[in-house]
Amino acid sequence: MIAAAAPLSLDPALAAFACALVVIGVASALVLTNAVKRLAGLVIAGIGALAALAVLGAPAGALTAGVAVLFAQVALGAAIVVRLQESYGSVASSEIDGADLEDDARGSAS
Amino acid sequence: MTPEIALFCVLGAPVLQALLVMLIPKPPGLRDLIHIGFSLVALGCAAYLMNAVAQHETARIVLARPLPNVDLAFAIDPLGALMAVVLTGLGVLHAVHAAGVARAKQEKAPARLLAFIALAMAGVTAVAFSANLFSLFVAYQALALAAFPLVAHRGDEEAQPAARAFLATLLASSIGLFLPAMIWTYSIAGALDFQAGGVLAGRVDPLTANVLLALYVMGIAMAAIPPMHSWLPASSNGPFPALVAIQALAVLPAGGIGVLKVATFVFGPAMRDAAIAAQVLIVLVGVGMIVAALIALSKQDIRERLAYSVMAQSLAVVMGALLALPAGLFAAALQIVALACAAATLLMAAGTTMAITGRSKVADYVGLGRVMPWTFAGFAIASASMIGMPPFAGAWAKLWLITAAAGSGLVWAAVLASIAAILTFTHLGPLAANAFAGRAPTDAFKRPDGASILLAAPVILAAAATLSLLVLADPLAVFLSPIWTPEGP
Amino acid sequence: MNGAYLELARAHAPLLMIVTPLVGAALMLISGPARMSWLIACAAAVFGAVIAVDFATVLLMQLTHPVAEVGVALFVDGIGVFAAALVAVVLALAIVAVGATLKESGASPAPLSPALMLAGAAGWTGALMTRDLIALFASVEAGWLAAVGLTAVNAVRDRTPLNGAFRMLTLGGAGSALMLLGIGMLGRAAGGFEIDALPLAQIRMPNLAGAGAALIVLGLCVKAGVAPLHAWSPVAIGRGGAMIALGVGTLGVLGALSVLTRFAAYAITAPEIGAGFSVALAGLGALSVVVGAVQAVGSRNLLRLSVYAGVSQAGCVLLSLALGSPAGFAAALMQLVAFAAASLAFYGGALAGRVHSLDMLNGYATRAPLASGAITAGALSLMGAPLTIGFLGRWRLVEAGVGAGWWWAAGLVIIASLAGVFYGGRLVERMYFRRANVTYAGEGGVWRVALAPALIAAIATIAIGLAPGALLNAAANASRLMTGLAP
Repeated sequence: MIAAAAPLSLDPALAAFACALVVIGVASALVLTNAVKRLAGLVIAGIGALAALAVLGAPAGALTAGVAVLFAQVALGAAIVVRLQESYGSVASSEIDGADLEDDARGSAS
Repeated sequence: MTPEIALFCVLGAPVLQALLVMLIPKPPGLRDLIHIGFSLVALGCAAYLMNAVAQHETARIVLARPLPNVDLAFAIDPLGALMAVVLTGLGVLHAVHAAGVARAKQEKAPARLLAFIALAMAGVTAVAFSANLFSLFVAYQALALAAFPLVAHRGDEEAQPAARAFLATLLASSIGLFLPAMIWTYSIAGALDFQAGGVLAGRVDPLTANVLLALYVMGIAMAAIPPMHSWLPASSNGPFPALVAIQALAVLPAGGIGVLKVATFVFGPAMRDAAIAAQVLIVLVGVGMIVAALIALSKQDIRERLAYSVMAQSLAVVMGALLALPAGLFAAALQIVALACAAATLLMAAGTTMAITGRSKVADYVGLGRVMPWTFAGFAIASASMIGMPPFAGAWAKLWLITAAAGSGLVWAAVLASIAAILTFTHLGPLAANAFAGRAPTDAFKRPDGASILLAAPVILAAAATLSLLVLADPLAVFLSPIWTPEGP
Repeated sequence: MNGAYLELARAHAPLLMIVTPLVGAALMLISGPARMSWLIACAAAVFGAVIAVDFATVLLMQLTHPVAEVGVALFVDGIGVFAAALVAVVLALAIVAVGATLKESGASPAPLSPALMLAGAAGWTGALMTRDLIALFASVEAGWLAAVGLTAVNAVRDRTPLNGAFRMLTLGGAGSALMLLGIGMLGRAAGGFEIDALPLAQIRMPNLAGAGAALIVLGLCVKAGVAPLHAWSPVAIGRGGAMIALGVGTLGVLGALSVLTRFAAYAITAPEIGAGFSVALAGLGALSVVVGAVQAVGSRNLLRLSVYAGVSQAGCVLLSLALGSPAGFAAALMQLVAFAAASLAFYGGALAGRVHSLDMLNGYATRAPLASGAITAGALSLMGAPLTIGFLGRWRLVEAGVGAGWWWAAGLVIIASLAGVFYGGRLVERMYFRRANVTYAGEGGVWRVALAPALIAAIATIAIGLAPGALLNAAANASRLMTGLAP
């Protein structure tokens, strides 16, 4: 559709690239086990979404809002990763989930 | 007093009774006095309402309007009034008997037991007087919740899973089957109010009518239609006063009343459109009666035997309702009355026996009639009524049922009912006969001083009630006729 | 004079509804002692609730239009006002309820937690009052990040909520990237970013618009904990305290569901994308109903059980919305009220006695009869027992579904109710028919007041179920007052 509307533009390629970034970022954020890498995936997804917004002709305000939200997410995420390392001694989600299961079992037994 | 006030009182008295019994558990004398006194109040109100119905008065109370066009409402009609009088009347006898059992057996938490019995009585009264399907549904659910603690009363490892099975069966069937049927009816008719002549008459196609009938009848699991009957044997784990409430006075009769109300006030002439479902259900019910009676024969514990026995009898109510003739509906109504009287007598007698002798095995009943003649006289009379021997109440109900089956051209249904009656004879007849014919036991009883008047008198009076239909059958036919012949007087 | 101020406040009610909690949050952070800051939070939340309820009453019951132009891009519609009032009331009750557990997570987070709740509620309210999709995105993220922060801050006694907070961040972050992408696509396809223009816009690229709307819904579904996108909620809430349960499990989920309801109501009425959008909502709703019900039946943790029951309830909201009719929207609003009341009663009752697992519930009725009453009311509503608001919500859904020929949707709701019988019955049995195996660990003395919101919610659950006329009317009017204020 976009290609049909603007055949001589780079927009379709850029839009596809942006969408690919979003997909890669989201997949990384959901699938990877290392918390830092997941956070990085979020950043990639956010940048991809911002790029897509730009290509799709969203107003500047949209980009500003997107950047602000992304910044807030990363700041909060970094703080939580530090706390995870302090509390669990690891940032690997498999180990963290395992520790939670143990906590759960201990809680049920007591 | 106006009929509205009486209606409010008949519904509210048992609730107040439960509250007071819980608040004043001691001294036992005062507690029992409250329990019996409020049961009498409920009976008085029910009798007043029956008289009001006979005078062609009407009464309707609305407690809430949770949905547009749907009230939580209760109203008087001949069927509800009759059931209320019978059940609250037997409820008075049961209140006396339960007080006696609680004392004789040192039942644990007697106040809680009596309170939930009262709540169960409130539930069945609400079912009887429900003015629409929604109110029936609410009363039905409330009754299931009130009866749950009765099944769980012992609190042991057997009682808890049994109580869970009891509640799960009753609530799951009502939510899974009855509720969709009710909403479907609402979407067809735009209202849920019961009316003589049927809400659905002239409004449903045959397919819808058949599906709806199946949903309603299976959804009212309190009627114990297989395979929705598992709650009934599960309830056998309760103490005897609870069993009387569940199997004779509240839960099982509520199922019969529910099916009868649906057949009469929701379907009416539309039952003809649901003929296929009705016949399939009649087969199910007929076979269920026979199988239940056979299972009863195999049971050696009196509670389990009586549970299956009353199940077989309760299915006769459903069969009568499904026959879709005035004769069938009348047979169903009579069967509820007869079953309530007989089952209450049998269970109270078994409760008395358990309290005095500590015996609950069928084999241990031999010769007991010689030492407990009053209790076992009641037991024998109630057994005869369950079997269908004239002149007891069960005979009239079965006579009308067989007449209705023949009138519908379903002679095989009459045959099924007759086989079930013969099987009932085999599992109750010898039991009652051996109680008198056998040699009196020589070993010591749990309570050597014998049954108190609180334990013996209710059994005899309830047994005497099974004779009532000998004179009341015809007046009751006239009294009930407006519900299936709305154009009549 | 007072009357003039009242009128002025009413005229600026939407703005006040957003600003009041924000001011309250700011004041809390500089107020010092925890109890003092909590009192400020209570005052701000109650004031906000009064404004919101008054505004909703005037608008939805009298159908008048008292909104002043204030130069801020606020936009008032029926669903937004109804849901904003609900969020404000839930916020006030939640803030009061967390009073007893204020210092549970340590001294430093004590003022911060209610402040985050207030800020989050302001975010959700903003999203319900905005016209622009970008502003909606920013407001939603404000509400969501406040919820993430609240979870992380309260992971002190137990570390599991920290893991939950990180899951919230990653899942929610992925959702927000998708949402942002969806907004861009929808804006491009519809030729603008105004939410109210969707039903009327000549959408040139319906596929792009449909994909965009679906991505926005997906982003919101993550935040609302709709299955299968709810991996964060049991971890975050299951072992958290009252702050997390009420601030995230009740308030956060309610906010996200409300925004989802409002957005979906606009998107589904856009002729070009409505049909496909409806199918997507219905599919997601059906999945959520079933998954939530199954997981609730299998749950051994009381808070998680409630989370899963909420997931099932969220599915019912989506199913209602998928009907795409005013009756469906009204049913969705009733479901939101039912969810809020049941959730408040349930969490409030459980956390009053520090109950987490089902085993701790044994004999709870003897130890804490009022809290047990609240849980019972919540459980009854969740199972759709008659004469509770849960029954009402489900009835409206089934009725609307049957009217539209969606028998399967009615069947799913019945299945959800059946599952409710099993898990609800299990709770009731444990509370009333088992012996206690732990001592009562709740707060005594004056802090029993913290149980009041749970009891209010429990009473509301039953009272609305008995006499729902006014609320049904309000929901019906709200669903009709969709595009601007034209009924």
